[in-house]
Amino acid sequence: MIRLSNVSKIYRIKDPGTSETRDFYAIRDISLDIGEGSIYGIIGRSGAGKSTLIRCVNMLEPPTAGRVFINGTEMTALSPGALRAARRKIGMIFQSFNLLLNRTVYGNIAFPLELAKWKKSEIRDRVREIASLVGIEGKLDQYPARLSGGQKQRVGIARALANKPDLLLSDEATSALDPQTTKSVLRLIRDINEKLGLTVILITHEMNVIKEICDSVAVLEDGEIVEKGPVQQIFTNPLKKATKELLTHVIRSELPESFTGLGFRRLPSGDSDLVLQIWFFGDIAAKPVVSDLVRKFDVDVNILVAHIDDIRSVPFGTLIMRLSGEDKEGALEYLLGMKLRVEVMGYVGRSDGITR
Amino acid sequence: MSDDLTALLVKGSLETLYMVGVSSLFAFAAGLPLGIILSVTAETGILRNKPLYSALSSVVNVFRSVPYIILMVALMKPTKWIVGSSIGINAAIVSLSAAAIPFVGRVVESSLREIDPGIVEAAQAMGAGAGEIIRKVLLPEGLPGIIAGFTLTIINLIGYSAMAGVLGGGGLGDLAVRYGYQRFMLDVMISTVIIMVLMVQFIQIVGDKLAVLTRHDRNG
Repeated sequence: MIRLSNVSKIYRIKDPGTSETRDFYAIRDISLDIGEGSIYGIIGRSGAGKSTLIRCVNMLEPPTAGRVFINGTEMTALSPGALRAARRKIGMIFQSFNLLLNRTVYGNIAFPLELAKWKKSEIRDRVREIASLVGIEGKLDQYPARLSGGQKQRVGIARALANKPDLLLSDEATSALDPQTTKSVLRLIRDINEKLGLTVILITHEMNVIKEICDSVAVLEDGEIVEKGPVQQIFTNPLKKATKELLTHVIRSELPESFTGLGFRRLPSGDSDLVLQIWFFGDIAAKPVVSDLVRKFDVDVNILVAHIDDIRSVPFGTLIMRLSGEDKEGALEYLLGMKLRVEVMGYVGRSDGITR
Repeated sequence: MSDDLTALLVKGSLETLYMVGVSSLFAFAAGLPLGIILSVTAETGILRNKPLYSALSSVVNVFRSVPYIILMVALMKPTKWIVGSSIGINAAIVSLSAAAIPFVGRVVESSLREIDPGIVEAAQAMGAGAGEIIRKVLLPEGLPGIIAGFTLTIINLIGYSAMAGVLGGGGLGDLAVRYGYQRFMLDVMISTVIIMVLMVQFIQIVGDKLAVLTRHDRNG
């Protein structure tokens, strides 16, 4: 288990105008518990402090305040020698791969084993084993310059895993890759997590990455965690603005612009139509909620926005719909009674609206 | 050309090779560690040490800004203590080395500085110490640049050694001045120039070849 308690990183920066120095909090008072064997995502926009945060875990950036524990070892209290030994059990992969360019793929994977003083013959066996695990066994004699981005990251992963780490840190590992390669690299990380029970902490600016492989997520904004929890909870019930903004790239949940122009109001007036957003997750996504609604109540349903996706192969989606007819209050009650999150977005007058 | 002249040219060439060879060895032996220290103690280095870096850097700059011919004269006294004479090929080695060590230091520093800091960070993340980073990351990754720098150093030293010849240093420069210039023997002048051009060409070709052989960071 990994625990960060009240971790801050402060830089002294000099104001160019007044030449006074002041404190800049790259991250402020971060506390996180990360369970063994889980994949924990930290998401935020650039400059939010993600990369400082992940570097506080292996002390590439020693925190200014707070403590970091990995499986009971307090990283923040280690001597330089003990810290180097601890780092040999923490793999790290990078956005720009950071492979040794004058070493072959074999040499790159062997590198951490040389540092850990493995015997030559053991290194040879281990490199072969780990190369076939990540699917680059045919490239061992190549130099990194000859490889594609996806292959380079596979080498990076192999190198990170070679010395059998307890923890893998991923620093935007897929941000330099195209969408397809991203998917395959993420799948590889997921497989390794499942096969080896390896704990993974990853930072990213893409909700897609979180959606694809993470169990839990923390949203970082201006150096602070604004929201954290299981991925499905954050996706289906985001509370903070920063989270919602990050989610808009994954889930379309805004009203279409053509619609917002048409007398859309936050408050009801007369017998205006209801505009609802519902969120569904898991089994309920497979149920015919909308047709049940129409069958049971005297209402018309007009779907304005629909989006369905998977969070780690559990269906998940959102609908924005316009509800009109006599019994829309009853229909709303019915929806609220189901395992759905329902939000009344507003109202539109009956004469306004979208022509079908 | 008479046999005497041929013998002179052979002797001069050997002297030049000796001066350049020995001073190159000194230059690499001292310049390589100097360059490593400069690069690791610099602002971006793994053992950042501003006072040490500034001090070394200033000394290097002083030596590099003095023209070789002046350095040679300025070092006459210390040269006499070291090799017992202030003229001759052994004396020339002292000033040639003194000129080349700071040059090699800078060349090594800049080759190491070109290495992507992300690679060094990755090695630190894997638990590498400073010594391991120098031996297993910086030197192998910077090797092609270092070889190119060494090649340039040797070629510079061939040129400087000819200058050393003017002050009685021996070698091809000495021949060119005493026979070619003072006795108007054009054939000697031309022969020394041709020999030096061949030496430079040879060093350049070998250096380029080695640099290419050790460089793997490009697709091709």
